Amino acid sequence: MSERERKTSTRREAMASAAAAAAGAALARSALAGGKAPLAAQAPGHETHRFGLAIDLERCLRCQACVVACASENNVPPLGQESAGLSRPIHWMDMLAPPEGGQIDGVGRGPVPIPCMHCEHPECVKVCPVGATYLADDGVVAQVWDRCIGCRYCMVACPYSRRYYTWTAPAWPGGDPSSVNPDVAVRPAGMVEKCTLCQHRIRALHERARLDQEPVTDEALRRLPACAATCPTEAITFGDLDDATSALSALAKSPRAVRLLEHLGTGPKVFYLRGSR
Amino acid sequence: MAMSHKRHMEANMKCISCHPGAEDEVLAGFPSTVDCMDCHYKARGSEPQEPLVRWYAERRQEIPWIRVDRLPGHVYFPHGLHVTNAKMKCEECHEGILLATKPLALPDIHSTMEDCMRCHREHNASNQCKSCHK
Amino acid sequence: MASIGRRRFLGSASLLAGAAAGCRPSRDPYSVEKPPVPVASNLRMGSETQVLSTCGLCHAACGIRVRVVEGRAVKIEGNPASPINRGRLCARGQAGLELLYHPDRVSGPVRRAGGRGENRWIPLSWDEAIARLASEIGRLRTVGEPQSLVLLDGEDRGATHELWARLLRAFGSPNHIGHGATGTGATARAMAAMTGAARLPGYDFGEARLVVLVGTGALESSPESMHLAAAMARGARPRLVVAWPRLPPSAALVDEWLPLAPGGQAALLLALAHVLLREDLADESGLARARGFAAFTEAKGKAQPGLRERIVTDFAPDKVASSTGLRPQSIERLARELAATRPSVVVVDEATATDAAAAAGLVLNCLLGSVATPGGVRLDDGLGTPDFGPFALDAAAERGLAAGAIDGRAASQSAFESSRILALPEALLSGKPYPAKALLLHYSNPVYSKPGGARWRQALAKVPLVVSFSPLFDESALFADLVLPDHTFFERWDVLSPGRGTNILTIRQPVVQPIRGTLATGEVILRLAAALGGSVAKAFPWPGYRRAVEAGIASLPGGAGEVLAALESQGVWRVPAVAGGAKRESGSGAGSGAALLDVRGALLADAIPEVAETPDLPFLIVPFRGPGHAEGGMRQLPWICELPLTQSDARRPPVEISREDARKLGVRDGDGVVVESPLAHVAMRARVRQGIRAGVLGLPLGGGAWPVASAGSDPIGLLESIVDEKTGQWLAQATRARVRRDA
Repeated sequence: MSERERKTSTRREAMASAAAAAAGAALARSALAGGKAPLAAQAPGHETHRFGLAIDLERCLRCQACVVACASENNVPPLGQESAGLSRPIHWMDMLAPPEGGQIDGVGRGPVPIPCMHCEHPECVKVCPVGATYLADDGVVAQVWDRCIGCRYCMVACPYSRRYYTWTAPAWPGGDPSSVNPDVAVRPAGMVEKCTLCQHRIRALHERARLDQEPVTDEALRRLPACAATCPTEAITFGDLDDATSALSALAKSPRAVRLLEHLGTGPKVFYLRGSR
Repeated sequence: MAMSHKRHMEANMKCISCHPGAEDEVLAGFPSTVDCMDCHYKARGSEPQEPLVRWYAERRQEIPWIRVDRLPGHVYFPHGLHVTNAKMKCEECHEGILLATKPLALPDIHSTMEDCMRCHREHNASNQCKSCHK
Repeated sequence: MASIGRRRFLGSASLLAGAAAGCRPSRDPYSVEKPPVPVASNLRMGSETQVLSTCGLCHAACGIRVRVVEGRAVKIEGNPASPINRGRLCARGQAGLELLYHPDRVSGPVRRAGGRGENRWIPLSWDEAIARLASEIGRLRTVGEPQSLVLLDGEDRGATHELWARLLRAFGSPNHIGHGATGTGATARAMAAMTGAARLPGYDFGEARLVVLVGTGALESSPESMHLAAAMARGARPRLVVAWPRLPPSAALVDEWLPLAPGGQAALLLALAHVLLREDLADESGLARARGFAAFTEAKGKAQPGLRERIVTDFAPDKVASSTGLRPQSIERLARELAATRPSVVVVDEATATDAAAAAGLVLNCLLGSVATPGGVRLDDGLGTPDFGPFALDAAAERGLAAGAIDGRAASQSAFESSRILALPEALLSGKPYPAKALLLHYSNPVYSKPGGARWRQALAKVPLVVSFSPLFDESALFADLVLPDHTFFERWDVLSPGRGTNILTIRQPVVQPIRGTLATGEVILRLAAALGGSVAKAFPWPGYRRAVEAGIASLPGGAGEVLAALESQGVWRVPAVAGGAKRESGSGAGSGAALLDVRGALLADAIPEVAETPDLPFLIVPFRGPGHAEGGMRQLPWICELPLTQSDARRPPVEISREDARKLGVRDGDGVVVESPLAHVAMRARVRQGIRAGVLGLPLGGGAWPVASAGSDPIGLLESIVDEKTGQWLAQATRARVRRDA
């Protein structure tokens, strides 16, 4: 097959699968009677996960360590003062900051850390014309960097605005890329990127487990992504919602747990634990 | 350094004795001078460059191997899973180097993504993009 | 350590037999003659290793674990074995990679070409540089003026700091000057007087049920912020009350804010003590034998009422209403709450405390029974300060030391923590008590970081030789004649004592090979001493820094060998509980904890001058170090400059103003304003906030332009160098200013 044919066929494959996913999602949603979207049930006989995050706002110091850890782990370079002034800096883990003293609906006093929601019914996946983003079998809304054409439909579609356009080619201070993490690709200018729940770390953990012939424990998952690993108060917890014994599952069921914009039916998998103050 | 893989294979060496990562790491790795010295602490064979091993060792330096098989930055290939779990043989991808009497100047791996995905389909391994891409 | 992979096949059976025949128990693979085997195996292709070390971006000294791939540092994480951060790490620690690989690092020793500040340099070798420095300062000794050597030292502990102290003494200069006056000096002095040792305290946030923060460092970037976070990670959730003119953005966690008036810390603390004493809620056992608590007689024979009496008569909440700016009922309620919710502790932030406040805070904690008890103030037991042993001074040194410190410290106040750095510009400019001929800057950038603005530049111009050890070309280094760049902390080897009640030692190890031609300043000191010769050289008998540190820790329990083994494997060594006479009482908590020695420092509350309000300068500036603040400022760390909550790049920091004041001035959030103090005026953007008291401007420190401009208009230039005359401590909240909209 020629290079071009191969690309076209994979694009067709991707579009077909995206269409199928969209159809499936629409079907699932239409089955609901409005209001809160329940977390989707697992298809039988196929090992899957539903990875998500919990962020405990009683513990979050708003110190922004998660923001920097994510940038460091995922090779998100700083943009320099001029771009910073144009609101272009990319923060896969961002801080949602209402006006001071203001509240975020349901969640409480801001600011709060806000990564990608890794929705169960991701709007971005539905609108991508090239299948550059997809809902993986472990619940991560993943991306294929090289397919992205930078049309930014996904940015429009995402109700949480958690997708970022790369305005500039990656450039490290002084042109020195020594500190680049070799496990994460470096993205070019002109495409859209976002939080991947540190899928490279998830993959590495599962592979290590397979090689060692040991199970993946919830213990190992809880602080796996860079944000959760660095949070000084351990406010961020990662885990598998399909594992009923996981810390995340317990936190998701807490009376303090809320999700952003639940009424939209996106099925976000980031749970905020409201503060009591 | 003109190291002959063929010669080492004739001495019944296993690939993992010098490329230990192949069985349970992502990258197979290269031997450290320490590893070469396990055998080459005294002269072995008649290659003119063989004494270089001891030369580097005396200076506490690593032999500056030139890596020719280098995957693109967006590709992730974990040797460990393929060798240990999928029980692949080194020669299935690295046939070229095993017969070489001197180091290669060009990459010898010619698999394409299509080849990888075909094998994955056949063996029921994941073809999700993120399994192999960074 | 090398990541060789789990299985190594040692060649064919016959080879193995042959090798085994001549083999000794510890096989030496590199040997032709079998010498030992070091190998920089982190250079092997594809290899990856994790190196334990200690972060240096603030004084918390968190343990770090750096992932190194093929000899490059690619990610910094916390060291799980460190009790300070327990495997977690703050934003600045994560941004450390930007310091290591910073493009503006000095490549190697340089000397100035052209005029000062022209930023033109000629490279030297290290031998040349050290020889040059030795010859220049050696001359000062020869002509009998060793005291004209002045060292500004930004570190207040550690082996390098101790070696500097030793060098200056052996050399004959009393001018080892620290930055305590604009930071932790007051707290160190209060601790020295009250506990016998100038060691900064820590706080047991894990057990405390109520924490009153006088100062916001624990919610932003002080070392205590990591201690508080670590306690919260373990599930602690004390009630948090902040008493300060300003509330930081992490206010979401604060239960109550008392908008203290600027300069009112000591008055508030003593007023709280007043209520406790008045209502019989205090535990006075820890103060029973404290000098100054009961009536005493001064050295000159004058009788003084003791602190207790002064608290009772002069510090009733309503009497200090104007100093504190708080309603008496609020103070009374807080005092009763402190008494009723035990364990409770009051944290007077070490970086912003005045002498009186630091002392009053400790007295208050003592009255609450919260010193050296669970949930209270944690004291250091002091093990871990390197002990390099005695050395002899020659006559030249003795004479020099007798000349008295250039910063005006009295002979009785010669300790490092009594340094008066803010007296230096005038001393340098006037040449009194004597001129300075050489100024060394270690971890110091006074042109940027000290109040008093342009005076520092003028003062430096008067000193014939200025030497900086900074790894980056900062503002002060631009004025230097010689720059002898230090390694960043990623490239140094050291053993550190984080202090603040942690009672551990941590290791610092080179994470990568030095990426520039820098050299650890600790090594430079040793080579400099050797080059100076004579009694100075004799005081430094060690061949290298590592040997010196090993000697310095040899007297620790277990000896250097055991300590280093623990440090190399875990990154941390815990000081064993000292049997008998320990000031550190952990856990058992019987009784009310430690007794205080001398509390007269709290009486300094009288000495604070009232800064009168003037109609043309209606605001008081409250400077603060925000959550991104790192050692040396944060403007050189791009990730930190671009943090989302900064809302504008930290390279152009905004000024915080209350909503009330903004309305009166017609200023909206984001508007350009001009802030004017008696010293300078600076254009800034306004950040209109709720969490700031009316009449106060919040001024963030650590930001500003990068690369540095040689004539800065950084906000710190606004701040005046107003000091407490008795101690030299900077009165940080005493600068008045006005604001207008920038048309």
